Amino acid sequence: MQSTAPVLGNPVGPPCVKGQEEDYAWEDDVMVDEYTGPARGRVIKMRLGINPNSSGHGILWGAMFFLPMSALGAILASTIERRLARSLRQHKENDGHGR
Amino acid sequence: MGARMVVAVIWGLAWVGFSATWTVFFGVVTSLQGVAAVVFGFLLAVASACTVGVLSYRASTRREVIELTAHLLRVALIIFVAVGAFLMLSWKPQLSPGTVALAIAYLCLAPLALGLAALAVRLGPNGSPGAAARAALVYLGVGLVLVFPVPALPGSGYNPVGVFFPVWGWGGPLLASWWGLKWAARTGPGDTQVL
Repeated sequence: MQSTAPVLGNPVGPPCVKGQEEDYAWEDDVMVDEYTGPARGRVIKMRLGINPNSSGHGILWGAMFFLPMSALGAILASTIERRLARSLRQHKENDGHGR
Repeated sequence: MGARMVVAVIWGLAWVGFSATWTVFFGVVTSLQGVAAVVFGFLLAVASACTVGVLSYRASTRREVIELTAHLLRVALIIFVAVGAFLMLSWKPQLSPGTVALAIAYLCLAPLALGLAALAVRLGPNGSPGAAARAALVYLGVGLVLVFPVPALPGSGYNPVGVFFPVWGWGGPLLASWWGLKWAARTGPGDTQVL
């Protein structure tokens, strides 16, 4: 039994070559070219995987990935200030005493 | 000689982990997958680890570089154990070897690389007190701006989040480490402002 539900992504049809779109039209108004009238539908592009143009992924992965990692890094970095000052002071004092 | 080699290995390992985590991020935002992602990650890790390893070896003639590297490694391990224990108790993830490797890279080595980059900033030409904190704020601030939705670049249609954020997020700390370590190798402790 064949489903009659519209296919949103990756519709089955002939390959759409740029400049030859007028040769065919897809069913269900998925693609309508200039010869057949005004566009009543839009091609819905859907990929399995990640869309590199999506801002949403920037937010999602920025929040999940970048912020925790950089926050841990900042915590770690904040621990060097006092130790470095003490270490450098000791180093200078040792040099001053002609080590 | 021995301590300097250990320092170079720690800096190099930190950058292997940092590059590995960024490769995962690159893969997510750019659809880089499969063999290409592995090759890319391997090249990124080798190039950065060798560069930073050699530079840190040269800079570790200074005693404070050795001491602070050991200190940062200890703190990174404490953070890793604490956060790892919290996640294990609260989330109970399935622990495959890949998950463990990614957890070590993400929770321990990547923050360690950032901490070491902050040390390089502090020992660098503009290493005044608070320089590392300011660098960390800039890193977080620019990152926050980039993760917010911004319009696609004209022409290419690519979102700057996908294009600039990984390059800057990985390249920024690498450049900071590069400049700071080169300066630290050339100069003595008197050239770094203490107070």
